[in-house]
Amino acid sequence: MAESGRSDPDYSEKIWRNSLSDNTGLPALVGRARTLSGETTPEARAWIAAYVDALIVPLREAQLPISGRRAVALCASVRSVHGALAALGRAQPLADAAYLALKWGMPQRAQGRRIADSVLDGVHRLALRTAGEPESSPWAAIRAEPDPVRRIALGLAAPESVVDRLALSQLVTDAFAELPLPERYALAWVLSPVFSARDRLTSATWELLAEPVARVLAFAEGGEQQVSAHRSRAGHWDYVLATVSALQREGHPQAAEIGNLLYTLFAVECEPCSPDRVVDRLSEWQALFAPQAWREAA
Amino acid sequence: MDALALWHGDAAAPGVRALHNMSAPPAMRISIRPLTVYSSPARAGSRLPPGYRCLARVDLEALLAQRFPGRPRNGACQRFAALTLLARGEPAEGLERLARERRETLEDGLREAAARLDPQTLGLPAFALARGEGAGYGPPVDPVAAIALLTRTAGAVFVAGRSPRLAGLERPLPVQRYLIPTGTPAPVQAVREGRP
Repeated sequence: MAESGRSDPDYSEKIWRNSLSDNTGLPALVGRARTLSGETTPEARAWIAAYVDALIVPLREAQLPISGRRAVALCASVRSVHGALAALGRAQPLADAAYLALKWGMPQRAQGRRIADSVLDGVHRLALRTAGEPESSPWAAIRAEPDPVRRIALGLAAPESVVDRLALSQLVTDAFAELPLPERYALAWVLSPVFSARDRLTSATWELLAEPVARVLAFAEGGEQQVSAHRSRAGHWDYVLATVSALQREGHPQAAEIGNLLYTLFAVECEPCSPDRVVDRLSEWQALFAPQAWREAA
Repeated sequence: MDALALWHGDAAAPGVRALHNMSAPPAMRISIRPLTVYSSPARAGSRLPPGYRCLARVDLEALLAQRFPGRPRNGACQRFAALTLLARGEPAEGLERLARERRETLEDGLREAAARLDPQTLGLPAFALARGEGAGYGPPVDPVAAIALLTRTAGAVFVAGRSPRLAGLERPLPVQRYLIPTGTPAPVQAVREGRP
């Protein structure tokens, strides 16, 4: 608030000085805020510590890392903002005070970096979910998991009342955003039957998953197709063929499905990729999302 | 005279450092045949790509013809009225009276009736891909489930959680097949390789 006041050209130095003088009552308010801040209950202090702790990972992922010292300062800021709100007679919950302290306490602003409110909103919401949760809680496990695809599996294993449709969709879109195109195809191929049986995604997320699945289906239905490619891609095509042939020789039960997926990546997306890596990822994720695996995790 | 100049038959091309043999252009044509799985004659007849199962075959025109025989179904109002009756599970006798309503009223009524249908209760999955090719086999579906499928399909994707939409329903529709990814391999008897 002070920052915005100072940057306002109409808020002159004289007005600023007057507002700090005794007759405005501001010093009394500041004193009252300090007193109230010091009276924060142990439960509230514990929640604030948990909230700031839960902020660390999402802030780092949002490219807004904070140091340990900054985290301690943020705890104090939350208490101060909460005290100030109480002094102003605004009975706002602790979470609101935490958001205000986070929003105006980020060191990146002092470096001249603009921080989008939407980013802070997302980080704040994530931290609210995990703040005060025991370490065994699903959200604590999800936040602690660095692999975005494994996070989806953990979210799927959690009850819908804990990880709702919106949150699970967010996990899926986050994973999609982090993966290269060939692995997005693989993930969509693995996830679509899993979520088809459990209605836990938003329509927008379904559209995201459906796009690669529909492309593979259209390719598989299309019959023989002629592809014109630069000669430099001949090596990649040989690699694709060798991988598909190896799957067929081994008698892989899904050789045809995987083969069509690799053909689509080559012919439709013209995407250079390592077919072996795609096959490995498919195996890994199929094991991860196998029905017995997520039931056991639950 | 170096080999490059000899190739051109002209010593006055010193800057040329690349030769293109025009009998082998830098592009290649590959013919790719998608892989198929024939686990049974029935499966081969359904022309299903591997990894998919046919959830339902929706022949809306046949459903309407069966439910409202001899009644006009080509106008948008008549179609919306007929679809509303199907969605509500009401008898066909009310068609003429309902079709006299304004189109906006009919659209609202159909949208409302479709929104009341719960795809999960009707045994529908959360997601399916719609194919409008018409050909191919597939299990028929009851009229109410057909309305739920059609009104929640956009861009060839059925999503159970989608709000009902009526785009395209005012005109006769080709037969739609709804495919769902199986996720588990079909029993393989033969994997036919589609190598170019």
